[in-house]
Amino acid sequence: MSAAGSRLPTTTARAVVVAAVVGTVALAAHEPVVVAAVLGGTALAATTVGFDGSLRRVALASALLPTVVLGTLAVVAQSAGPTAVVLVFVGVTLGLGIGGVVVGSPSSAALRRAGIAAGAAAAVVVAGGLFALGLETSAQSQSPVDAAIWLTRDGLSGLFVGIVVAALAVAGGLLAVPPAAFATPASHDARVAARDALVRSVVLGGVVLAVGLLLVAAVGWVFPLVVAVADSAIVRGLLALVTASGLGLAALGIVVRRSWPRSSRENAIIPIVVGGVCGIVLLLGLAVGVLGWSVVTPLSTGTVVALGVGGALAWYVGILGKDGLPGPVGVIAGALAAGAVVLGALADGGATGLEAVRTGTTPFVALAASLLVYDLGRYGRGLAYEIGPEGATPRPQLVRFAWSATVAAVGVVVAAVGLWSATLLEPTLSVPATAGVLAGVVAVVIGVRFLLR
Amino acid sequence: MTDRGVHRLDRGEWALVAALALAGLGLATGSQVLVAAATLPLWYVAATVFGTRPSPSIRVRRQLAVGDTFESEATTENATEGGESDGPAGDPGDTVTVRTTVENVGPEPLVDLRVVDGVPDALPVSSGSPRRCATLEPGAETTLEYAVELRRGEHAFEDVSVRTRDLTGTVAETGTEPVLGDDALRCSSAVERVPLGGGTNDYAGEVPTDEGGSGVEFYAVREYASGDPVRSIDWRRYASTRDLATVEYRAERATRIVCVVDVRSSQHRAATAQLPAVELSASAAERTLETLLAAGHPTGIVTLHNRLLTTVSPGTDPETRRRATELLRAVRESESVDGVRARTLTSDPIATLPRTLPGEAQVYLFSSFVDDEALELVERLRTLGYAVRVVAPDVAHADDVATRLEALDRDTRLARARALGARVVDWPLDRPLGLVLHDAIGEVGGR
Repeated sequence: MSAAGSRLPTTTARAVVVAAVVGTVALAAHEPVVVAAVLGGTALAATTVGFDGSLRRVALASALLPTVVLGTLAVVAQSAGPTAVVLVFVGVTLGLGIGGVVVGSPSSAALRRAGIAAGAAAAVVVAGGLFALGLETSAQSQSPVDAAIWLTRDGLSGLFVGIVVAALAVAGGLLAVPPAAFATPASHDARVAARDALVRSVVLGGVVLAVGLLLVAAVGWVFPLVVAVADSAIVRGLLALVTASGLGLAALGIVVRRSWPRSSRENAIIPIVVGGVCGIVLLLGLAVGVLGWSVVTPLSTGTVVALGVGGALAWYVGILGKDGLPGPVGVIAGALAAGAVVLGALADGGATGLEAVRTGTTPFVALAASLLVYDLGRYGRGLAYEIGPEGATPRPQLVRFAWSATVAAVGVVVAAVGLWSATLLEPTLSVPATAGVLAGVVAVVIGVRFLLR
Repeated sequence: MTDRGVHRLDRGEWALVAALALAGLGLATGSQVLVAAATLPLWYVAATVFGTRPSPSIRVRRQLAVGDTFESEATTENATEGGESDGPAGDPGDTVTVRTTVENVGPEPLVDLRVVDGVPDALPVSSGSPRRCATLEPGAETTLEYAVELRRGEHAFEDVSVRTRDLTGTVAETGTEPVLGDDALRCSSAVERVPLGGGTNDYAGEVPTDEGGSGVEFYAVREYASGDPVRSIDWRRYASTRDLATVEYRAERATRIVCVVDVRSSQHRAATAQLPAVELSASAAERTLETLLAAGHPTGIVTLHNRLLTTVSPGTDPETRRRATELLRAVRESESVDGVRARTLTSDPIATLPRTLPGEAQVYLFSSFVDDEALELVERLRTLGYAVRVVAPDVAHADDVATRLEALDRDTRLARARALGARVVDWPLDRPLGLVLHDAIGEVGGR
């Protein structure tokens, strides 16, 4: 039987998700914020998969990525204490795995795209932060917006410099855009000539306008009017906006120029960068509008750290390829097992009777869910390899799920009852004694196997 | 089931490792809960103990149908196990629906039965899946229904591969199962008749002409000329009018035929969800060639590349047949072929091709007409007096605007080819080629 596919059949995937949800509930019984962390991880996985789709989906995913990352980061920040932090990270990882099972694993290209989008958003925040820092250190008692508008100083000289800088920024932006963005091979020369003419016009027009204003100001009765224009916040705001647009266009053009010759025809650099930048700008603008300027510093810092580190990691994994990395089922099983170990290690060792059962049940259930997920994942991968998702009917998968779940449930019940009876009979049950019981169970299992073989 | 093999898929090693790891962690951290949790994976180890060898007993039937219409079930029921059958036949590109039914004829339920049908490697599966995993109660059955795209040749289905697992999923039995019913597909039917055009040479043959001479069909009566054979004199007229007249019969001449197959890059580019035009053209040319050679007409092949002409000169001998068939097969499979005269061109192949043809040959042109060069070739051939017949597979058939515009241009080209005097067969791909050639090329023309 040769290979047919790699993705889990639908029924098995649903069973894995059910088991993961059961494990999540077990973890949430100890730390409720785990639920939010799982949801955040799932959203992050779904957003990353969006980078595999059409250019529109890529742009949407890029725009959503900062919001999802910061939302997940906010959930992590809600946790108090090291145990909660660890469990929240387990929850995020669990959510990533669940998302991978539900919507599929992102390809290496999608990871690279997500890394670039996160990097672009982080770069915008860094650039904005540096600009704001520069304004702040200029010892002016203005708001950042006013400082940006009046960066070229007030008066006629400031207006002159503002017009020239705006013209140069627009011209630079136009020149930075690769000709392939607005021309076909047949119309290349004509379009480039038109672009060059436009650039010359913009520069010349800017210089003429600036010099003309200075000359006109020499006329006595016009001088007050020119001064009024020079000191107008609207005019300066428009100039600042044009300058910023020109610089943004130039930055985008440079990124596109560096990207296009090195990649395939399906180049998504523009939706990635535009979506990422728009997403972070909208997010920060919304946060400032709702919560005020006080959130800018912590939000920006968190954004740069989360998007920078996460983006770099995603990009690096995308470059290296995903060979050797665990699949989504392995991620879920590992996360649940890690959560079960954390809960088990922190369980109250002095509890007896039903209290011991209560403290032991949550790690038992999480561990059973982990084992169930792992077992179903092995079965599902084999089924997908031999038959493929299309030919796999639900019934044998449900039979397998029921069997594996029964084994796990029996294990949970026996472990809980065993723990209860052990602590009831011997409240100071020592670890060596428990290990002895475990060794006995192992010996029984091995003996039965040899007998039945 | 034959070739049985039993495998133990899982011995629970992973669970044992997990149990030991948990126990170690529990001992290291002094956690009773973790040590107790180490018993959990052991249940998965214990579960493998219950693994038993499945003993499947199944019966498999297969039905094949060109399109989606199946014959009656009775035919299949009467088929003998593993018996050879000719199976249905179709044209290249046809969709063949395969319905394979697996029935559990044993007393035990089959919890996890996996079946893979033995689809011939040459036939791509176009829809559905030839694989199935199902649970079957005693007497229950499951059906695999899928479609394959027919390719030229005879294709034999193999036995189905079967794998069953027990409830625990730890023991599997693998083997093959013979199949009742259809097990072969054919895609090699020849065209019944390929009508000829009017192009003939001066040698006696089978093609009627518009000139008088020796033949069997009455053509005209003319005034007697000295030297006319005595047996040609119309003695009845002489008896009534005492005038000598000579009866002429329709002369029959031999003809040579050249099948020109357009394999330029445009014939690949125009491919849609169907086979590419070049493959369709080559298949049509091959069937035409077989029929013409069977009728005794000297027939040759010319393949028209962007800068290359490969030719097999007209003939009726087995060597010509072999080389022509080999050339067309190579065209279909985009391979090079040895032993065929190839001429690399530095000039326009459309202008060069007519100069390489025998002067009195009939030309069959196989091209999709998705560009103007094919029309230009027809124009040049007609200008030089060749009888031209065009078989044009309609590959410009889709709903998007670009393809619809392409189809309009193509229709215009075909109309212009008709206006130039070529006989044009527009081949919609949902019609069998045999019918198209038989119905549309028309009756035998005269010179």
